[in-house]
Amino acid sequence: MLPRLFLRDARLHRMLLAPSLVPLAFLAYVFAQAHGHDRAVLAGTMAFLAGLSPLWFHLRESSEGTLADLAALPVSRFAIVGLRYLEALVLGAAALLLLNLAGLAVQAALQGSLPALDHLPGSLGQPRVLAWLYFGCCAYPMPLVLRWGGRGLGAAVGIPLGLLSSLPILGTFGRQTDQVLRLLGAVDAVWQRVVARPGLEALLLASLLALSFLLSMKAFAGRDL
Amino acid sequence: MTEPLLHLLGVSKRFGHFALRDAGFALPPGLMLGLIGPNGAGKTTLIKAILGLVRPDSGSIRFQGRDLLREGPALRHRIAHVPDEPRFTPGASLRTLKEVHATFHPAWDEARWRELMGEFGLEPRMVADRLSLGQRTRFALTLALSRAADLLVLDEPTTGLDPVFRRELLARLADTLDERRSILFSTHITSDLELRADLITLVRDGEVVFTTSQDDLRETWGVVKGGLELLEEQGQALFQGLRRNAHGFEGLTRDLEGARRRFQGRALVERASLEDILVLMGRRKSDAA
Repeated sequence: MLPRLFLRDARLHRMLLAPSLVPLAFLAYVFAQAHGHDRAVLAGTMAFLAGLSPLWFHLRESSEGTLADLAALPVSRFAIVGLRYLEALVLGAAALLLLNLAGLAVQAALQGSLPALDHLPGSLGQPRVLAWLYFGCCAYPMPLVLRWGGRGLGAAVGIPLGLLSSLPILGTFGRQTDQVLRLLGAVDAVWQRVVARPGLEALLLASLLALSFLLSMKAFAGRDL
Repeated sequence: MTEPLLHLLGVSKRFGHFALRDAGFALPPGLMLGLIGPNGAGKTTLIKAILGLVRPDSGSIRFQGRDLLREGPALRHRIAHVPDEPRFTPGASLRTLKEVHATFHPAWDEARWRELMGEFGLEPRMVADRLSLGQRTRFALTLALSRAADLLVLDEPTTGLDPVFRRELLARLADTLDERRSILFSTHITSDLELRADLITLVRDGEVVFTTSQDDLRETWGVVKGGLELLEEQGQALFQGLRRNAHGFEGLTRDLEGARRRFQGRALVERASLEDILVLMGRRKSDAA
């Protein structure tokens, strides 16, 4: 059933796919070339920006009133949630591939010859970075979007931004700079400890992804359309 | 006794300011059931519960003897649906929408779809969001009628249609009925149902007031029209619903023959139409003079 759902989205939302994937990937690569930015991070970011597409698919269906049609198909809500996660993965990979091709084309144009092939694929991102981007751009906001649509996405973006911006304000105006710095230092120390142990990092990431999927299931299964 | 094709029992659902309470009805195979009620009565909530779009707080919905709430995805290809205001992905052609739809329904009948498209004056290359409400409804009907579903659920399908097409559609729907296929038809254009429906379910304020046959409605429900002095003499308790104005009253009764005997020569007693029942049921207010 998932392949049929995937093809459905590919056909109905191709208007969203093309503008989000091709020009952004190309521009990002040109920008990275010109300014010498870390290609890996930028490529990963761009790939997962494209991976955001399933969220847009969902928001579009929600606002156009076609979400009920999707839910009334002979498929389970579990399959619909699985579809969104799968789409993020597939579209992210597609974006990486496009970026590779764009890179080859740009370098060929600039240098007059094809670059060494071993130089490009390896630079397009470490798996752990991509996995965290997958979590941040897709899995983290997904339960909120599935439950509350655009308001959910607003909350997913707005709440962390609000928290981050409130810390310096608290430090400056609340005269609690030391406490804020200590808090940030503690968070950083925990993070460093986790990333120093690949097994622990992988376990944390897997747990967060599983939790996100379970919350998404609960959020969408309980939603009246 | 034949097992109902669709059987709702004690279905309840609470939203913020609205509650569907203990709603139930049974639709045998081969019949058309008309779901009537004023706007906001709970008709669409009932339909959404059948389609799995709203999860009831309690109650059961059985389809062909199976639990629709638990086995919905496996059974839903046997239920076709036309919403009150069909909406389709902007920019998509009718052909694309049909192709996407058909992949999910194993019993898809392509020849029938083409035939219906022609009859309904639609072209596959048309773009869905440029269609009028009536055209969108027609297209939704082509999708629903090409699936060989056992239950056709229509939520106010005739609202955007012209009278000629409406009448043709009702005839066509009646033709699709057979010994295993049923239609659930929600509307407040009650004349549509008087033409074709076998059963009528009245929903009001989130409750199913009754489910009965058209024959029973014709034989037992009546409207009494008379002067106010008669109303005072006979009392209001006789009536299921009542409308008063400066000149007299209109009362809805469930005992047509009894009312004829009681008011003989003193008031006008006639059979109630579905519209009379819909308008008068539960009403106790006076009209402004």
